[in-house]
Amino acid sequence: MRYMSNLYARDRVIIDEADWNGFYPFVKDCCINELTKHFPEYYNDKLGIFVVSDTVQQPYIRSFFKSIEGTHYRGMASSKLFRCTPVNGLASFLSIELKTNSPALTLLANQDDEIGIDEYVRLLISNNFLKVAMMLCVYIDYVNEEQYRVILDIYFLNSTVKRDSYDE
Amino acid sequence: MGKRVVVSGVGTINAIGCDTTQYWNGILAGISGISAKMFEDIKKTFKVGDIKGFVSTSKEENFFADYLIHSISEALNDSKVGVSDLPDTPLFIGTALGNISQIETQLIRFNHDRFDSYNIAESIRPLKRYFGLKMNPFIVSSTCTSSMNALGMAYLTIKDGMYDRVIVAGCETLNSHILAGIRSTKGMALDSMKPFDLARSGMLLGEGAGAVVIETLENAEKRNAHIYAEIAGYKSYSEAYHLMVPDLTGENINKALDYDISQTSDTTLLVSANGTKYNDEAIYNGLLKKYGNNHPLVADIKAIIGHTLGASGIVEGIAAIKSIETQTALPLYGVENAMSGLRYLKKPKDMELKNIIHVSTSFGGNIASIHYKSVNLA
Repeated sequence: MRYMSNLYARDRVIIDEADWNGFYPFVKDCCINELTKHFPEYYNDKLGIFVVSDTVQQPYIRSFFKSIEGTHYRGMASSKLFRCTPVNGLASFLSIELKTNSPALTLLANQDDEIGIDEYVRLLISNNFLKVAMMLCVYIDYVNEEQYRVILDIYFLNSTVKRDSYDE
Repeated sequence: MGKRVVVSGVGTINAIGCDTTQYWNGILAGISGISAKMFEDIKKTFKVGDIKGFVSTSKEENFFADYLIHSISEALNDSKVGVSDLPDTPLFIGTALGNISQIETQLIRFNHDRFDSYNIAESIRPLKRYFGLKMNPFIVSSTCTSSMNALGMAYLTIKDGMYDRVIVAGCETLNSHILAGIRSTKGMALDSMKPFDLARSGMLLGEGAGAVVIETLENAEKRNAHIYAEIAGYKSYSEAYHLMVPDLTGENINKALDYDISQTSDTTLLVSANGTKYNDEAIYNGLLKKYGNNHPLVADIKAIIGHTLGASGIVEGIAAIKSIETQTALPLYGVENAMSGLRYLKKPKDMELKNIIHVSTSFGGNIASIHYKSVNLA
């Protein structure tokens, strides 16, 4: 994976047989740990949150579709909708929990893409939209039809960290 | 300061037009693209702003890619960008649902065996191939502000000298999943959409795609390209308030409107009033907070095209761009009994327009805005 450990990264987190109900709080805890370690001064300030994934409907869609098999949307509740289409759900959830008014966006990329997402995010930093960008890369690794795991990498960008200094 | 960024090409397909001319004429005439449509898979009829009569040429009926190709082709032809320049031109896309229709199709067609193969690249691969792009598109998903954030970030890349030209597009397709979802939030109107109306009851959904070519002013002038408008600013905020409900104080709307504009008489606001009780109240409070009772005229066209969600930043943005190009102020469609003191037009009106601020709000709390400026009146 391209978006992984760097100057400010935590170890990769792998969640086997993910408990989707606990996924948001789990990610929040990871983020708070890393933030307080590296950027406590920006914890409630200009922190931008960017969830990077390869599908808009990141992890939840699969379990959602499984849950409605045979029923096809019967009984769908709003909570389920926004769990299954987190679109900006995870990013928004974190912006609320971490109390930041800077942009919280989902950016889509394939794991092998060579597009410079972090370079675009850096433009937001240089244009004062935010001071620190927290990048969360969320990908699903399907072991087989029934088993899957979430791979979560967290890293940070700010105006002083140069790309060359953290590339592997 | 950075480089000046202008719009040199536009293209769209939506409920009231299969190209920009038809779309703009439809807006001026107040033609509604809203009609009742039966969604066979859930055996329910919804009033929606759907695209009518479009025949997909792709084997898999990938309407998401089809609509994007359609609108991007129009924007490229309009801007007269040379084919030789295309491969190196970046493409930015905004979408809230990212072709969820295709996932449904695959799941049903392949009996749920092919879901693993889906990711966003599956949907956009036809675009790369069709236009011969070298780079993979950069995709932003922030619910209803998706394509506005894509446009804003593309604007920054040009302003700061990373690129000379970017194609920016937004797209959304209608499907029963999102209809059922919005309905379950009680955010959907049953009959008509009435933004800023005292009797508003929610939104009606639409579908569509829009694309713009943006580039440096210098580049556009050198090519002798037609310049529609200048993009003079971009803002994006998170409310950090609630996943579904906006901050009713309007404080973040107020911040999104904070551009350097000397007078309000030559400015209009194209806002994302979706006809829901709370969203429109937040926008209303935000604009009163920013401008007071003498706020710029407020416009919205969702009542005739439906809410195109993540595509709305570009689809409606093209209306703002045409508005400033033709010096025609847009009306607030759908309103009958407006909120107290709201300043708006019932019909389009010729007037001197230096600025249009296009503001978009979203579930999840992201608020974004783009400041369009007239190049001729600057």
